[in-house]
Amino acid sequence: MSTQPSTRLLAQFDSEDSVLAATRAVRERGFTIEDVYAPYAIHGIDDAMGLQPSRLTWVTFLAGLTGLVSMLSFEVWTSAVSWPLNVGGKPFASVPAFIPVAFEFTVLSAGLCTVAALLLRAKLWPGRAPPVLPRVTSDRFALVTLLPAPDREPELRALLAPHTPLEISLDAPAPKAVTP
Amino acid sequence: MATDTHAHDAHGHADPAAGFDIEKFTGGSQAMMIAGIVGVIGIGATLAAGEQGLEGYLTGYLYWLAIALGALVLMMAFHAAGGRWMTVLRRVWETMAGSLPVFALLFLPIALNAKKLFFWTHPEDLPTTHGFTKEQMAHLAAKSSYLNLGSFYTRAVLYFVVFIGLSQLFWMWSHKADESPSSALTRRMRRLGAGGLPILALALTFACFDWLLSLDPLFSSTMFGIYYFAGGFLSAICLTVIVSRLAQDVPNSHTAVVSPSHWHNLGKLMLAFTAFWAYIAFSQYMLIWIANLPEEITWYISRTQGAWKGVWSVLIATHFIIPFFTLLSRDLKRKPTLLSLMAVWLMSTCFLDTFWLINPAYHAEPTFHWSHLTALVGVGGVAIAFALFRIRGRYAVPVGDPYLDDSLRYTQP
Repeated sequence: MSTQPSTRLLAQFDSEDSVLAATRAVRERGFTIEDVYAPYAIHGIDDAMGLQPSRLTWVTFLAGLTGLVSMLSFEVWTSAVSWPLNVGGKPFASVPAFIPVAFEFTVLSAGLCTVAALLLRAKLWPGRAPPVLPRVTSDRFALVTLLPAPDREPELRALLAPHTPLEISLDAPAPKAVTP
Repeated sequence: MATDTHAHDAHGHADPAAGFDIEKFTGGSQAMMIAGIVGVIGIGATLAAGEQGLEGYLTGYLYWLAIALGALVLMMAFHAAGGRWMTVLRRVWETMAGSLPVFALLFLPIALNAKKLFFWTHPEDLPTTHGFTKEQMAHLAAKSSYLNLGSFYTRAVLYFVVFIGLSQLFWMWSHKADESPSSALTRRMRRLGAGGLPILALALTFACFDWLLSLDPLFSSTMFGIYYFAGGFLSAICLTVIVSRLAQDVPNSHTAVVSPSHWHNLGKLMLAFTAFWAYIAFSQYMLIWIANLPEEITWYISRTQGAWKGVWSVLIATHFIIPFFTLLSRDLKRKPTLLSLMAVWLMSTCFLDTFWLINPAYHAEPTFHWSHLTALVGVGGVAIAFALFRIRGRYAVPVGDPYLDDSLRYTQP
C-alpha cells in the first residue's frame, strides 16, 4: 500500500443518485473530494461537493461591459469625430442608432470571453490530452476522494459501501489511462 | 388523496415528494374580504370622480388586465413547451387568469363611457378640440372602418370570448385532473396551450390597439401590442413572486413546496423579462425615432419632451437599468423576501409605464390624480378577491399532474 500523503481513492458508480449520495456522505465525514466525473451535468452535484459559486459570471459581466463601452466609444469616434456624417439631420453622436451594434458586440465579447475563460481555467486547450476513464463519458460516474492517511482507507470504503460502488481503486486514474 | 398519489415510500424520506402532503386550500378569507371591500370602494370612488376618474379607471383596468393576460400566456407557454419545473406554481397562474371573467364585468364602465374616453368617437369636434388639420381628418376618416363604435363593441366581445374561453378551459381541465388524474388531460392542455397561443396573441394585440393605442388614433405601431404585453407579462411573474412570499405561512398554500430553485427561476424570469421589456421598448422607439414620420413621432414627442422628459427618464432608470443590474445577483434571486421587494418595485414601475402610455393622450403635462390610485387598488382589489374566491376550497397545487413529482424534485445548477 502506498504511503504517499496524496493517495486518491477512485470509486465508480452506475447511477447519478448513488454518486450524489456517496459524495454527500464522504464530504460530511470531512474527506476532501478531488472531483466527480460524470457523462452529463448532474443537478445538485456542486452543492454535494461543496463547490464555491462559479466566478465565471464575473468574466461574462466584465467582458460584456468592456464590449459595450468600447463599441459605443468606437461608434461615437467614427461618426462624430473621425468622419462626421449627417444622417437624416440627426446629431452626429446619436446614441439610439449606436445601440444595436453596441448590444451585439456586448453579447459577442461576453460570449467569446466566457468560453475562452472556461477553456483556459479548465485547461482544455488544443493538444492537451488528459488521462480519462473512458466509461465516465458514457455510463459510469466516478468519485475521486483524497485519502489524508492510509489508515483511513477502511473508513472511506465503509462509507462508500452503502452506495453500491461498482469498483474501488487506489491512486486514480490507475485503471488503464487512455488518451482521447 | 394528494398523499396517496405522491408518497414515495420506496425512496425513504430523502425524496422531497415523500413529505408532500397538501389539503384543499381554505386560507385567504380575510385577504379576500379586505381586497373585495377595498376594491369596491376604490372603483366607486374612481367612477364618482367624473371624467378625470375615467382616465384613472382606464389606467388601473389596463394595468391589471395585462397581468391577468400575462399569467394566461405564461401558463399556456409552459403547457406548449412541456415545462415541468413550474408545475407547483401553475395553479397561481391559472388562478390569476381565472380572474378574467370579472374583467369582462369591469370593462362595462369603459364600454359605457367610450365616447368620453376615446376622442375618435366624435371626429366632428376634433378640428376645434385637438386642432386637427385637414390631412389629419382625412387620415382619421380612412381609419373609420376600423375605428367606429359598432365594431369596437363587437371586437370587445370577441376578445373576452377568447380570454375567458381559454382561461376557463384550462381551469376546468386542470381542476378535473385533481380529482381524476389522467395523461389525456395533460395532452389536451398541451395542445390547447400550443394552439391557443396565436389566437390569444392576436386577441391581446388587437384589444390593446382598441383600448390603448386608439387613445392617439393617428398613431400606429405594430409593436405596440407586444410592448403592452411585455409589461403585463413581467408584472404577472412579479405578482407570482409576491403571492408566493405572502402565502409562505398560509396552510395548504403552494409556497410550502416552492424550493430555492423555483424562486431562483422566477427571479431569472424577472431578469429576462425586464430585459425583454427594454428590448421591445427600445426597438419601437428606435424605428420611430430614426424614420421620424410625423404621424408616428408625435406620439413620442408628447411622451418624451417637455415635462414628460422626467417621467420618461425615470421609467428607463427604474424599469430597466436599476432592476436589471440588481437582478443579476444570484443570491438575491434565491431570497424570497428580497426578490418580492424587487417584484413590488417592478410592479410599481409597470404601473408608471401604463400611466406614461395613457396620461399624455389627455394632458400635455404629467397630471397625476388621486383616481389613478383608487383605480389601481379598486380594480386590483376586485380582481384579487375574485381570484381568491375561485381558488378557495380547491387545491393550491395541481395534485393530479403527472409532472408534479418532477417539479417537486426540481433542482438546478
